[in-house]
Amino acid sequence: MNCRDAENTLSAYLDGQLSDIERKTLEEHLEQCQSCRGCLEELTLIRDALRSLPEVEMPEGLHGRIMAAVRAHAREIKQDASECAGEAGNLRFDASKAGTDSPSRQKVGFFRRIVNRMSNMSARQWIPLTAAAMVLVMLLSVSGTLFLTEGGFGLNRAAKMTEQPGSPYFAASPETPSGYDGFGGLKAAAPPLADKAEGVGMLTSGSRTVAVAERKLIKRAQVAVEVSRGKIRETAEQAEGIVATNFGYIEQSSMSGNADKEMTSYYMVARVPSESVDKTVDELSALGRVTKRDSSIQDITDQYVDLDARLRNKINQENRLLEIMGEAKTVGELLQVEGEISRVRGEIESMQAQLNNYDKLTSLASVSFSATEEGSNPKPPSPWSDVWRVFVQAWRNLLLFAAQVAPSLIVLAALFLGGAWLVRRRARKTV
Amino acid sequence: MALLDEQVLIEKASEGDAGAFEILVERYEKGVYNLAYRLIPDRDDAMDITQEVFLKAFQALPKFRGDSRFSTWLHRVCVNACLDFLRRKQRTQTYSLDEPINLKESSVVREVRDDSGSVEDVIETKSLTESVLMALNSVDEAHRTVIALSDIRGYSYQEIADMLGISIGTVKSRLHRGRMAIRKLLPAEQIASPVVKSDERRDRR
Repeated sequence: MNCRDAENTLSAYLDGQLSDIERKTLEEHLEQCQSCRGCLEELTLIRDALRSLPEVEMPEGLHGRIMAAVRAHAREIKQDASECAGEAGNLRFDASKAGTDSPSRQKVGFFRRIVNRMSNMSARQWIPLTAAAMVLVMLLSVSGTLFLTEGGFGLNRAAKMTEQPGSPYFAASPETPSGYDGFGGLKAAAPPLADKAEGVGMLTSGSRTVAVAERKLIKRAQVAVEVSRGKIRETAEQAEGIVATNFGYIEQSSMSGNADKEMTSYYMVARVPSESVDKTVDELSALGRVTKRDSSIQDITDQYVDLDARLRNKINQENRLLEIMGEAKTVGELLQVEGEISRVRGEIESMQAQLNNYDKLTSLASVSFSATEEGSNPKPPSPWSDVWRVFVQAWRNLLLFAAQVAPSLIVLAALFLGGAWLVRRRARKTV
Repeated sequence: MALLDEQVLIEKASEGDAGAFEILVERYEKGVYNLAYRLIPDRDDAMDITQEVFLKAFQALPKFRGDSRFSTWLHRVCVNACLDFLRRKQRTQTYSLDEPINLKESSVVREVRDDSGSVEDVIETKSLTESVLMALNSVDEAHRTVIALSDIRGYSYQEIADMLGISIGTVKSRLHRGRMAIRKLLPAEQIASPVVKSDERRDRR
């Protein structure tokens, strides 16, 4: 017997699992082999150490956990309806207590705990839960759908309101100009700017210096007023008169009313010479209680100067081409130059059109004016109405969202519940 | 009488009497927990497994024929649950540490920091019992299972073979290899045998 064979039987020898013959052969080998004897001694030591390993104590709460699981199962077997209803609460309490007793449970993931909990639930606990979930989802979708139609109109209404100046939505009165500080500031700053530009007269554009008479400014102004009942036609005539006396013209005007065919609002857009914008706006503002007034100035000097310079360039180019055409010797050359000239001419004309447009825009300011009758807006503006409106809007949006999400939620819920049920069944079956 | 008592309890429990089953649980839970804890040296996991074992046992109790002792049967359920658990765990987090991480163009060899130091290093400072326990935990599960059943729970080779569904020869060789593995992990001083010279031990390692 060699050492390897002997060594392989040492454990069995130790445990008394060798046949007589095997044992005798091994013992004979051990007589001679010191190494194997050492190995046997060591193995004995290890086996004894293993045998004397102390038992660990049961962790606290484990017994409770075991019995909670067992009881839950026992209850399911019995399928006793009344008992189930009565003790379900206790059981759940036990289980949760056992769960919190041992801090180790907290390490288990939240999701896994939910799944565990669900797979430990009996069918009788399961059905109401499922039903409740479905009812909740359906309620959500029904109420959401109801509000979807209702809320749709509401949204449209709200959108209309924002377009209409003088409505509660734009309820900032002239007494509180802070709300329109941006416009006010701009307006205040504009005149000095224009004055200064007139004095300078020279402007830099790119690398070229071009002389321009003044700054090119596009002015726009907006006025909204409220007038007393029945005065709307009168106001409209007055407004048109103001435009006329300021040498302007009316680009567009409209008068609209409510269902009773009474005219309650008037709207117009007028063009007046830039110089008389401020005067016009002041006069228009005097027609009623001002609910909105703002003006803006767009400085297009840079674009104007740039366009002007390019136009001059093109004109020079055209002149050169005309010279070249005079020197043309062949018909081919002539045609080529002519084609070039017509292209440049086209560009010149489009630029001139643009410049003319700029001139028109800067010389004639646009003033829009709207007037509404008092009381044609049912709700007087109050801070609370705004709060309420935002609240309703938010709630409506929430329900809209729910309604849109509900169908997929139903499908998801069904999938999830079904999946959990399958998992639970499989868990039972693999016992 | 105790045996008869147990049979009565098992019968009652298999009819769904949780009270009767609780007596059985009280009797065996410590043993089951200890076995689970030896196979899966993690307190939480061992607790989970113990709970699972008793629940399974309760559910499968009508199938228990009394061919073996109830405790043996319980321990078998426990061993299976543990092995199942280990297999599941392996499946969910299989990272071969030797396998290179494949990047787009090159591959990087995975490096893992070992905070615990090697098993041998840690064992140096412990008592023999602690060293043996640590070594046992680092032996692979097939061998650990057999050692736990044989040396810790005191089952015979035959019983272990039945429980695990393997042959006696396999039990024998696994047990021996397991013990030898532990022996290799133990420091020489702790099992110092005067007859074995230390250099000889080194050679065998």
